[in-house]
Amino acid sequence: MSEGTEVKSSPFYRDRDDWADITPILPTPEENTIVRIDAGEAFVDAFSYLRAVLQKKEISERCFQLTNDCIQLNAANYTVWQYRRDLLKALGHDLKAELRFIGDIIMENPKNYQVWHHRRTLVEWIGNPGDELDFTAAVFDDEPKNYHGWQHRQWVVRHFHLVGQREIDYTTKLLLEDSYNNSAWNYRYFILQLWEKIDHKETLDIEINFCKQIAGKLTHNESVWNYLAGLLISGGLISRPDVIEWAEKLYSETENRAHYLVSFLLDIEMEKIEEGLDGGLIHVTRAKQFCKELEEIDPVRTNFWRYQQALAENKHEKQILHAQQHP
Amino acid sequence: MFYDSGCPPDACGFKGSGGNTQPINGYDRANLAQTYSALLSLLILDDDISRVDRKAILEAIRLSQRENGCFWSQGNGSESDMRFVFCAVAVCHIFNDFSPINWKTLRSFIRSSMTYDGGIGQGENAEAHGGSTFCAIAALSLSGRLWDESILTQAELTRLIKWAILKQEIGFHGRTGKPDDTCYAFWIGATLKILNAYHLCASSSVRQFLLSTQHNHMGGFSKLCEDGAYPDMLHTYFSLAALSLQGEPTLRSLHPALNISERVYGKLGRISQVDSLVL
Repeated sequence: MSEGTEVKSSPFYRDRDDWADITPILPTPEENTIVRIDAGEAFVDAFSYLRAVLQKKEISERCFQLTNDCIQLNAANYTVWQYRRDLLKALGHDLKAELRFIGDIIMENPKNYQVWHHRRTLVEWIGNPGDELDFTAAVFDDEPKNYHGWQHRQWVVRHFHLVGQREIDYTTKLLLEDSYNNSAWNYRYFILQLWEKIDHKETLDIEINFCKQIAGKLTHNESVWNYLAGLLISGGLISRPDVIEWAEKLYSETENRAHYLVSFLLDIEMEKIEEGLDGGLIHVTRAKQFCKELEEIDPVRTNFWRYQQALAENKHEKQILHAQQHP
Repeated sequence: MFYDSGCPPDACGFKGSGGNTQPINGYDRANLAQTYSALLSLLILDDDISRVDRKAILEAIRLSQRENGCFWSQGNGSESDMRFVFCAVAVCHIFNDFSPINWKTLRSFIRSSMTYDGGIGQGENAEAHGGSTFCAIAALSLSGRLWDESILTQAELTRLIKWAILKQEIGFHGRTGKPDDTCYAFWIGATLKILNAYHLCASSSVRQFLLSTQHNHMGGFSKLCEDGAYPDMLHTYFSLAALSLQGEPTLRSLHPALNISERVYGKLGRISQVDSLVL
């Protein structure tokens, strides 16, 4: 990015001969009186010149350099980015070089919406996925849950049809490093959906096994329980007796039970009540027992578990009424 | 805030800042988030917003809706996610006119943003997030589409409540497995409030968390509860808003979906009535 940038004798545009023809548009009195932003001198200077060239809609190399400085001062100013994109196109700049530039800026401001939007636009213009998967992986090395990074990776995979086993393997790697990484779980689910494999028996078996391995060891992991329940969302938890059996076994063998495990079993009982299995009552009793246990082991959600207890009874009554009306 | 009279039709409304004496070549476009904030600010300042060009803004909202149902933040090709769904619907609510919105496509956008764990993400298949969940639920509430099952079913709302309730450790965090953060005491708290489910969380625990993030000397609230954390404007506002949700004495009560005090919200109701009398 520094290639071609001339050495400045003064830090200010107002002192530069090559900018002498431009009259800067300084902040107006109203801007300086209403909730004045405490901007530094260099900031006011650069942005006053930016306003002036925007007004003229000047397309030139010096304006492109000016946007470098403005972005360094405030990478969140979306007008600067829009102008820079127009300059890029009009001046015919190398988009790959711009990708390297935005890569550096993203590494400095990884949680800024505008910089990721700029990157996506560039990739769209270039028209191929290039190193985008590696780039997001590098971002995740620093921050494995960077929301923008995951949205970008999803977009790349969808836009360039890159769905496949490689992406599943990538999440496996991340989840073995940190199985609490909910972003990686979400991405894994997204890939299976996009790949149209989420309802395949074979896929479900593999995924359920993966969950069992992780949840069996780390029962206090909300993400894996959510993912497991999410896999069974269309058929319901009771569609997989093997999963129920596994969870029951885990429950009976565990002393320091995680509330996610107990809550998972509660959800199974709730489904059984709704379906009117075994007359329902036995499952209401069991659901209420789980709720009591949850109140003890998860006190911050006491109100919620008490409500679930009432809900178990309501569901049961509703089911009986329904059965009477539709014999 | 500055109202831009020379705006392109798809980006009419308010900009983040002014200072330019004339509209500049379409660069300084209005942004939906700024339009939402500006209208609320005018209402707070006792303006009756009668001098705002509502027709132009509503037309901009119409033109900003994308094919996928979501909204551009400031015209074609700009940023676009659930934040701007909220802003668009909130502005329509303020003007009491939902005619610019195509609900068929918006419905499918919101539905595609629902995640397997029950929350809502910023867009299709994105991870469930407290902020985007608020944006979607508040938008449905403000447009009267929360309870009629036209977009989300009762069962989906029940799942969403559970997802939200599970985000509480002491305060609330915005995503599964992330640390508590003061602003989610509002995003998740307000979502629960809108869904008539706030009583299911441990509000005293939330309060305790919020108070623990105050700065001893400077005042204000920080994002996280950690040593050396500095307070900022955003987290201070959302901490106060979250405290208001649970009826903290001395704070005005809040309209959770529009994120404005009930006092100001009441004024909005009177303005709409005057409008309909004139019409």
